[in-house]
Amino acid sequence: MQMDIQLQNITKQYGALRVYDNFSLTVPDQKVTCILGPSGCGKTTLLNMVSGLIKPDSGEFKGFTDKTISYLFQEQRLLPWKTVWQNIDFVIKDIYTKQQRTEIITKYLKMVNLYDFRNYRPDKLSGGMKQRVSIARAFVFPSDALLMDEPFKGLDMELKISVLNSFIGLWQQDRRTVIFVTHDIDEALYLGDKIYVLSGLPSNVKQAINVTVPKKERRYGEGRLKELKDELFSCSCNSWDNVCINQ
Amino acid sequence: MRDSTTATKLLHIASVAFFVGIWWVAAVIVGSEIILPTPLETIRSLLVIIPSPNFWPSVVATTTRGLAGFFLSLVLGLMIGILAGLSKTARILIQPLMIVCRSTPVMSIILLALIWFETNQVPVFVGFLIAFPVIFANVTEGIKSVDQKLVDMAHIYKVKKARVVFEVYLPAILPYLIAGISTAMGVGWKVVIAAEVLSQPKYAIGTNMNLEKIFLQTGGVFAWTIVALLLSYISETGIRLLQKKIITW
Amino acid sequence: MKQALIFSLMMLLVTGCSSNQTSPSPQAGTPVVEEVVVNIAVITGPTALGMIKLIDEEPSLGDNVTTHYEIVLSPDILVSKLLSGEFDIAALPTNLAATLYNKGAGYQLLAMNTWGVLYIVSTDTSISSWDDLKGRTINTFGRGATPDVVLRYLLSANSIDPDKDVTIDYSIPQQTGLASAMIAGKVDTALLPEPLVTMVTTKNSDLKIVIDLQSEWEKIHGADIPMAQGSLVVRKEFAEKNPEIVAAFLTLYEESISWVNTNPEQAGVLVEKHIGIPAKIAEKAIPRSNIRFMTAMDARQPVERYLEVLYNFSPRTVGGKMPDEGFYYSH
Repeated sequence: MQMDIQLQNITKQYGALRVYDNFSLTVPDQKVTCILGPSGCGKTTLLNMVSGLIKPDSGEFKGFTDKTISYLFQEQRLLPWKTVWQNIDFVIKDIYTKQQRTEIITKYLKMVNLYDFRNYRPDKLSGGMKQRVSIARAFVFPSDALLMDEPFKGLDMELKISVLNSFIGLWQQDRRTVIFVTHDIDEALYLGDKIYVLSGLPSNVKQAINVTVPKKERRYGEGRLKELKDELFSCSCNSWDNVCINQ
Repeated sequence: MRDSTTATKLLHIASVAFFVGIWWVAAVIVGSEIILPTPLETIRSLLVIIPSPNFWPSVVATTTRGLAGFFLSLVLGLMIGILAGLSKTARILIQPLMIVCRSTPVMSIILLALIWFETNQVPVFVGFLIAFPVIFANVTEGIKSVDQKLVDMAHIYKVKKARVVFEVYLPAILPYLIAGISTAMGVGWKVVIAAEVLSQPKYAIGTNMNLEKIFLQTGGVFAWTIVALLLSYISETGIRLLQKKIITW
Repeated sequence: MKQALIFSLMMLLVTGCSSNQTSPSPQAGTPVVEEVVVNIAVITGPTALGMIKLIDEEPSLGDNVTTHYEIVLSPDILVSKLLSGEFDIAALPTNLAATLYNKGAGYQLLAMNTWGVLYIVSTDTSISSWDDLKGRTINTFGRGATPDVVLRYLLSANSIDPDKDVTIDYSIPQQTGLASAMIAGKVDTALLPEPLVTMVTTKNSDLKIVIDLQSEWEKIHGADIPMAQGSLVVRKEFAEKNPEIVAAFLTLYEESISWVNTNPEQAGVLVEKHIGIPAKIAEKAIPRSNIRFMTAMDARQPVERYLEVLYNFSPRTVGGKMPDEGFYYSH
């Protein structure tokens, strides 16, 4: 079923700290939704609630029943004792037949240019390569939605762009609903179709913009994207350097 | 590079030769074959022992008993260790048993085993009881050290529980397990042979060692001791090779 | 702290004083009299029976001579202590005495005391010959110990392979433990020495003596070569320094043995007092224990023949070679 995901009146409190207070937003179906906000402000908490790892104190997630999720983490979370191929196989072993798995894994590994490295173990791969394996794994898993928690953090510029491009390539072939959480505006603008800007605690949507530039035409940190970035910054409510307290 | 390996090898040989030399001198000074046989007498005893019809059956028997005990401790240590690692309740319930296993003097275990089990099983039981707490401790340590993030990942991707145990937990604890096996074997052979000295199975290194002592053939005691040392050394090397082969990450 | 200091000072003074007393400074013409301590050991069993009168009365072996008697549980424990020279006189199976001598431990054969105490006891009274043992399990204590050696020898001499035709079970390694197991009915056939033989047959009426190893030995070798099973050894160095003490001991020991044989009832009482074996049982066991005194020199022939038989069976049971004449103590 194609349906937007609705977060309605989510409240979450850790002790005296109220992270979310009657928080609502809509995640459009089959689009990349970016949640942009400073580090340490509860974005991971939001994703964990969406994925069901933790429960909100109150509120509901509509349109989320029966949806399976893939997750892309900050760390790659690859099993060190398995090869690239086996790591991806690991998540779909219970779902597809051997034949199907061989086809699918081959397809996606080729899409992220790692087919030649399929028998390598993670310790032999660079950071960027490992991240691409995680991305392939996330896409290989037949999920309805893909949650991403700052997966491109820490990659140097050139590497980041290449990994982002791999991601976009995959996504174009297989358009899933993506919820992408990050603190990096350039990333958000490069990938996102809808961007929500969050404030400090308790988190609230300060701003929501749509990026209508076709992904193929987007250039990282330049052109139309740069204009949008300036727009976002011009809004005085976007200085978030010291807003959030690190828990 | 080449020079240092030859140098190290020479150093090893020199060290062994040095200690054998000290042994020789000491034996000559003591002057009594029953108290301290010379290296030569020991070698002579070895040359008598090895071709005797008793030798290989005894070595095989002791090895089998030791391996049986270790294998049992491996299986049980793994199962109960994983259980205790994953469930706090299980860990607390098992704890008194583990403390008893660990701290009971070896001799108590041997003496009790003599009462409870038949001759050939005594060394197996003793070997098992000594190795079990070691394996258990290593496995629980290993489980604790498993990267929770990997487990979460498997959980999110809805991987079946059985596969999480076999493909995430087991490989994670493998290095700890092998370290445990190595430690257990180090002590294990000693106690298996000690148990054999007391339970006296027909074919056993311990039995033969004791017999040499009864006939005051101390050279023979030394010779069988060397056989035991070799057994220990071979198993340790075996484990190390296994470790290299299995743990490729 | 102060108290400890005072205490230690006092101890020093006391020990200092006493050592002065025991080693008086030599004066011209006066012989120095040294205190001699004689350590004597017997093994729980028939060797203790023969010496029981000495153990009880601790008669003097001379001026300034103190004697300590100790009862040791088994021959191997005793051997270890002999190797460290803890005893001057000790009871020991003859073949072990020969082994010790051959390996240069410094002990000589002093006298013979027991000429065979081994019996096979069983619940199965149909056993009357060695052949009847085929296919059966016999328990004995201690692989390689003298009873085991004698058993194996006799089995082989009667054409029975001790490893293939019978099962010898060593799983109860102590003789007292084996006796208990027999009494409890857990073991039905075993080789035991006196006085345990009497003990088990008394306490468990199902058990009977079925084979007398001494007479079996005699069947093969005749009365010329008795089973010279148990002996006394003496530490060579001690004997060289104190020949009078040794002589005194031998006289008293011979007396003790003849007293025990003529007064088994009273001997039994002493045995119960010092060793714990019930008096009535010890009394019955004494005649079956073949306790007879003989000096080493007198016993040389039978001992040599006995050792020869064992040597031909398995050289290591006597220490790899026949002991030379230095083995036999002579005055």
